[in-house]
Order: sequence, then C-alpha cells, then structure tokens
Amino acid sequence: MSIENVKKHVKFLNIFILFITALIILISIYVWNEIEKTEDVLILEKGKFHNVYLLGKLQTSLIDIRMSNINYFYSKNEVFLRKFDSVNTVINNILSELKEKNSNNTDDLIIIKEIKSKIDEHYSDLNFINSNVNNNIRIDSIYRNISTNLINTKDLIEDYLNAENTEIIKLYDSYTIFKNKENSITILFIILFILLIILFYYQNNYLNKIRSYEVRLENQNKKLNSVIYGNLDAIYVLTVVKSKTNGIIDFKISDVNLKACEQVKLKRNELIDKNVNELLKISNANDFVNICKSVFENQTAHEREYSLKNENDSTVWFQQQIIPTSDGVIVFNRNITKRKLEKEKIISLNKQLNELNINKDELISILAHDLRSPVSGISELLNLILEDYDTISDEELKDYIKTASKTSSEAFNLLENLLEWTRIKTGKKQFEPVIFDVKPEINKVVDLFEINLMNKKIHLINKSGKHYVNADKNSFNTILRNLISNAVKFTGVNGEISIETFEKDKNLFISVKDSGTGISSDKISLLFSNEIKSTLGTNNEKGTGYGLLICKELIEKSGGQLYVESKPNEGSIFKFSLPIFVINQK
Amino acid sequence: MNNNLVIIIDDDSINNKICSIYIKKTGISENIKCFLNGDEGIKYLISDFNPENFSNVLLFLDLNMPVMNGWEFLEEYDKLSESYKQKISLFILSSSIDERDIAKASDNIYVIDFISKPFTPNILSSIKEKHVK
Repeated sequence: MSIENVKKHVKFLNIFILFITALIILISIYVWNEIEKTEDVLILEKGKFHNVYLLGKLQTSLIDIRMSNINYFYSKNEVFLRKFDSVNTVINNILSELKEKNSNNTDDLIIIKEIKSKIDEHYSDLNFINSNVNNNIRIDSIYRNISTNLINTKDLIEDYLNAENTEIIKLYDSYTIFKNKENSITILFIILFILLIILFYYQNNYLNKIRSYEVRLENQNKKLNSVIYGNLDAIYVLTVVKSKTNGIIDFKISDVNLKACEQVKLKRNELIDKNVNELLKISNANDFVNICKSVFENQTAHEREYSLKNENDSTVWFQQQIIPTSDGVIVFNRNITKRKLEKEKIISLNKQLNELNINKDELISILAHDLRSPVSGISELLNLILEDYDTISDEELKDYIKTASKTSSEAFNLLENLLEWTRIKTGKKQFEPVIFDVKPEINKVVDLFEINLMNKKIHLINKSGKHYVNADKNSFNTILRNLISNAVKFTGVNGEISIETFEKDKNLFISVKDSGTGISSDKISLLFSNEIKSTLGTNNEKGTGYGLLICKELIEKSGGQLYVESKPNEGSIFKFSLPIFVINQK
Repeated sequence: MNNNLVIIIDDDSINNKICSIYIKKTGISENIKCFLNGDEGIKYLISDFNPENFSNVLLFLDLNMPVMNGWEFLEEYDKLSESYKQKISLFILSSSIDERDIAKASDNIYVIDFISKPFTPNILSSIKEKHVK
C-alpha cells in the first residue's frame, strides 16, 4: 500500500473514531439524565410515603374518633381532646417538613393546610362541647355535626391520598421503562467500545506503517547525505531564485559538498545562500545559468564537457551533469583532465598506428608490384631460351642470360633489403657488437662491386685506414654496401668514387664520395621520408628505395649519425660516424 | 625484311627484352627501339623520327615510369604534327589494373587499346592482323 493511501486511511479512521466517541458521549449524557431522573423519583417517593403514612395514621384516628360511643364521648371527653392534640401535632409536623423541603408541590401544602383548618375546627367544636358538657344542651346535635365534619375531612384525606398514589404510579412507570432500556443501552455501549478498540487497532497499524516509512525515509536521507557529502564529484545543490515578474532570474546555492568547496576554493559558509551569478567569475557563467534554466524548465537532465584554464594556465577538463529537482537543479562536476589526456594520447597513438598500417599496406602493394615484374620476366625469358634453344645463337643466349641475371640480382637485393628493414623495425635484428678493424671490412665490401665498377668504367679510390670500432659487423657491411651501391648507381661512365676514413672527437667518420648526378637540396630532405621512391641510376639500375632508410636506422642504432652533402651534377658525399673503440680504455 | 618500326617505352628493362623477342618472333619488325621513360621516347620522336621511312609504326607505352610517366608522355605526344600521329598506332602496355587508368586510357583519342601485362604472343598476333598492313 502506498504511503498516500495509508495516510488517507488514517484520516478516514480519525473521522470515524471522532464520530464514535461523540456518539458514546451523547449516549452517556442521556443515561446520566435518566439516572438523575430516577433518583428524583426515588427521593420523591420516599417523602411521599412518609406523608402518606402520617396522613393514613391521621385518617385512622379520625375514624376512631367518629366511631366512639357518644356516652364514651361524654365521659372521656378529655381523652378525645388529647387525641385531637396529637393529630394537630402530626399535621404541624407535616407542614413544617414540607416547608423545610421548600417543596414545589404547593398542591400538597394547600391540601394539608385545608386538613389542618378542618382539624382546628373540630378542635374548637370539641372544646365547646367540653365546656358545656354539664349543660346537656344541644350536645347531640353538635356531636352529629362533628361526626359529619369528620367524615368529610376523612374523605378529603382519602381523595388526596388517591391523587398522590396515581402520581407515584406514573413516576414509577417511567422508571420501569428506563430500567427496561438499560440492557440494550449496555449492549450498545459494549458494541461501540469494541468498535472503538478495533478502530484504534487499525489506526495503530497504519501509524506504525507511517512510522516505519519515516524511519526508512530517514535512512534514505542519511544515505543521500553520504552520497552527496562523500562524493568524489563536486556537487552543488541549487535552488531557483524567482523574481515576481520575470520568472527565474538566478540560482541560489543551497548545499555543497567538500569537493565543491575544494573546486571553487571557497569555504562552505561562503557559498551557501549565494547567487550563482555573483559567485561565478568565469566567462561562461551566463551559459551555465542558461543551461540550468533550461534543465529546470524542461525537467530533463543535461550533460556536457568543458574546459577551463587554471592559475598555472594549463587546461582543466570537467564533465558536468545537471539534474532537475522540484525546486532547482543539482550540478555534478567531475575533473576528467587525466582521462581526457589519456584519451588524446590514445587517439594520437591510434592515428599513428593507422598511418603505419596504411604505409604498410602501400608497402606491400608496391612490393608485390616491384617483385612481380622481375620474377615474371625471368620466368618468361627462361621459357624463351628453352623454346628456342636449338636455333638461338650463342651471342643471343648470353644476352638473355645476362638480362635474367641482372634482373634476378635486383629482385634479390630488394628482398634482402626488405628483410633487413623488417628485422630492424620489428626489433628482431640482433646487434652483436664486436671490436674490429674497419679496413679489411671495407676492402671486402669494395671487392663485391668489382664487376659493376668495370662495367661502368668507374675509378674507385680506397683511402681507408686502420681504425677499431665496437659495432655489429653485419650492420657495418650493410651500411657500406648500400652507400657504395648508391654511389656506383648514380655515377656515370668514367666517373670516380673515393672512400675515406678519419677520426674526429672520439668518432670515426667514413665517407663515400662520388662524381655522380648529385641531389638537389629540396630532394635531400625527402631521402629519409617514409615515402619510398626509388630513382633509376645512370645506367637505369633499379633501386629498392629502402637502402638509405636502412643505413640511417643501422647507423643510429650503432650510436652514430649519417650526413649528406650534395650538389646537382657535381656529386654527393655520404658520410657516417661510429664511436671509436679506444684500446687503452679497457 | 619489312619496313616496320616498333617503339617500346617502359622502365622495366626485362619486359622490354621479352617484348622485343616476341615482336621479332611474330615477324612484325626487326627494328625495335626501347626507351626507359616518356622523356627519352618523346625526345626520339621529336628529333630522330621520320614517319616517311616506315610503312607501319607501333608504339607500346607503359604508364608508371620515372622522369616522365605515360600520361605526361601523351600530353607531349598531342603536340606532335598530325603526319606523325597518323602513322603511329599507340597501345598502352601496363601492369596497372586500376579501372580509372583503363577508363582514362580509353578516353584518350590516340590510344587504340589497353593491354595488361604480361604481354603474350597471341595479343601480338592479333595486333599484327589488325594494324600492320
């Protein structure tokens, strides 16, 4: 059951309980009245019985008087008088009692007074008889008169008594009616009380529910507080400030957490109840307030990233979430500078990788093309030789084989360089530095070019001296082979190539100088770019485009550097350095 | 011995050698001139070539070459006199399989056909039938 429903039930039960309580009070008042009335009846009855008793006694006395023998009357006149005295006293008692009670029942008083006057009359009559008793005159007639009067008085008392009795019966009847009702009223009372108890039971249940809901709410509130105050994001709870005419004008800070204070470098009490516009000195303050406005008006959350310059003039990145509430917004600010930088790093790395991959793809397609022509050419040439073997002249055969040989050595060179290149790039090339004299190694490499030099009639001058270096021999050979091969390639017929070695600043320099075509200055910078472009030699020798790149890599890995000097049509000098091994150091 | 001339412009020397052998074997011509780039080819056409001396002239042109590639050669070729161009039957001989190259070649008015490498004697025979009188 939802808490709203529970609250509705409690309200309804409250009304019901009030109604039943009111009902019980009303019934109680009624019963109280009835009981009071009954008490009245009982008191009245008691008084009445007393009076009736006295009057009854009086009546008996009067009858007694009337029935007395006239003779007895004569002789005992004084006794009669005493009897009358006592009757008179009774009447006086009744009167005084009634007066004392201040009884409202004036009828009773009148009747009693009337009886008293009658008795007084009889008394004077008797006194008269008593004074004339010896005269015997008219006593009989007087006596008869008294007798008749006594009968009248007796009837008067009897009538009064009868009237009193009917009154008493009436009161008694109403009392019995109430007595009969008593049971049903008691049952009603019990039912109402049970109902009240049931209602209280349910009421209590519902109140318990509300209480446990409030406890839960309290717990949630505590959790919420720890979420806000313990959060690693800076949190600002903002409340809308509305002007009477224009609606929202600004936001007021109603709560902040520790991180938020750190972020703006202000104390909590410096922030609370301040308007955002006053506090924000940054240039995009208006943007922020506008975003908050739209978030609040549309009741939809907003997320953005923004950057600020801090006091060190470095950029700080924030991720900001603005969440609408019923009376404002909650702003979450997270410093994402680290993440942002990492992301940028990843993006640039990814870009590099993509470029590398594209380069690789291009490389493979160029290679496939570059290898396809020579291999298919050699294969076709060999087929032709086989086909025409019987008819072909020796001269032609030699020419074919020469072409095939040249092509295959070019293809092999390409593969060899490529292998070297990939081994360097993948880090699989093993550098095994040894201490060796460069002179015999240079001579060995120069010998490889004997035929090429002869073909182009190039004069090679080897001025190398004895120098010890600590380097990888294979790499040294590869570097030198490539440089000499380039020199031969770009040097025309009857040209000159010279190889020199010299020491300078603990470095050994080896230079290969040629009198070839040279390179224009704008093309020198392109020599070591990743854009692989081979240039045909003076005798249309094909290159691989990797030679110089491989040289550069190998030289740098050996701790040296490659230098290029060149002028178009005058020739080039390729010079590289290697650290000298000084024997007495060890 | 006929009076035909074949010009091959290609930076691939082994291909030139093989082409020459096939051309000789098909009997198109014994007179074959090979150039390793467009520049050398156009220089020959401008200075040493005389169309009057030959009854048929076939020209095989590669596209990807250093110094002056096939397309640049065709631009220069366009400037030659009509009498030269009428004599010459020009074919593209390339290892390119790029559709754009093929389309561009077929759009050029001087290009008769686009031949993809490798060059075979069959192709050469059909060329001889159609273009050598």
